[in-house]
Amino acid sequence: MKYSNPPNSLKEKVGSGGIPVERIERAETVIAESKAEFSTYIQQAVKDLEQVSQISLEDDIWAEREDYTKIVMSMKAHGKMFGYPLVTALSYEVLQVLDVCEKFNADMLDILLAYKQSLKLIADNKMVQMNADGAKDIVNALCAACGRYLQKYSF
Amino acid sequence: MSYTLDRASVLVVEDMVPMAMLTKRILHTFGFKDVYVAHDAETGFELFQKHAPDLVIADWIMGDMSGLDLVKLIRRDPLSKNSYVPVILMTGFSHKLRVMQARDIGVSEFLVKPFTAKDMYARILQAIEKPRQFVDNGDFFGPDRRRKRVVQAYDGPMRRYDDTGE
Repeated sequence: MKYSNPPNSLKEKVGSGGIPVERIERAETVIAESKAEFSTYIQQAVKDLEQVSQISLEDDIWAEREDYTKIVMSMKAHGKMFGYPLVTALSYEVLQVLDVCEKFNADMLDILLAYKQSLKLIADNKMVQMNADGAKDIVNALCAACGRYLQKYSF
Repeated sequence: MSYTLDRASVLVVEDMVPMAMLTKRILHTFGFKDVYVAHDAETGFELFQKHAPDLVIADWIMGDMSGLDLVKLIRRDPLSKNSYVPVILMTGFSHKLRVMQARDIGVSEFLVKPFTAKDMYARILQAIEKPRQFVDNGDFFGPDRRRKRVVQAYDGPMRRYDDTGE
């Protein structure tokens, strides 16, 4: 086992003192005002999740599980960054279940189908914020389903 | 006095174009001047070899070649321009097993998306001020996976080989 302390070229170049608070605050504003046509990404995710309804539990779909995980993870990662905190909140719940699920069973499929429907509703109605009409119902329903799953399978 | 970030360069590798652009804007707002952007890991490695950036910020999940594959290349390819460069991995994953997987490849810092500017600054600050020593044990080459914890209450003698003796 060899240990080494390589020269810290980054430190040598930037020196000391940190980044001024004003710049960090300005960067927060850059994020808050970030605009992207994120609804097209949501629609694509819904399209990609369409295959979920065709899944047969008799098939070995472990590899596909990773594909669905990536879709959900991407929605969780980018929703809030582009003005859709509701998408991030929903996706976070589903990702927690996908990350621990050991078997792709009917309960898991139900959660994914409900998730897909929720995303579709959000995209169709441009429900952006958590306080949008019906948003809380969607989040609560999905949260409850995820909670039941985690409880049932003792995670 | 503050950091002279305009002297350092950063490579951003992110396949979601708006996210790559947003990351670049954040870095420019922080004060970095030279920010190179690639939308796939292959191009990312080409830019890495061409510009030898001082910091790499890469997304995990990208097309055929992932951010982890890129980290492997940077750390282990004999032709790599700088195997020791700090790499911040951005991802929506936050499960412990995923974090451990990234750490075992040689990632320096982990930035969970969605993030705030403050979160990103914290990771950059860590890379600048508290880089971890590198370990090479044959199977693994990268920053030490154990982050040293300073026990504030301990005032006894320092006996570890890497203690500074202060």
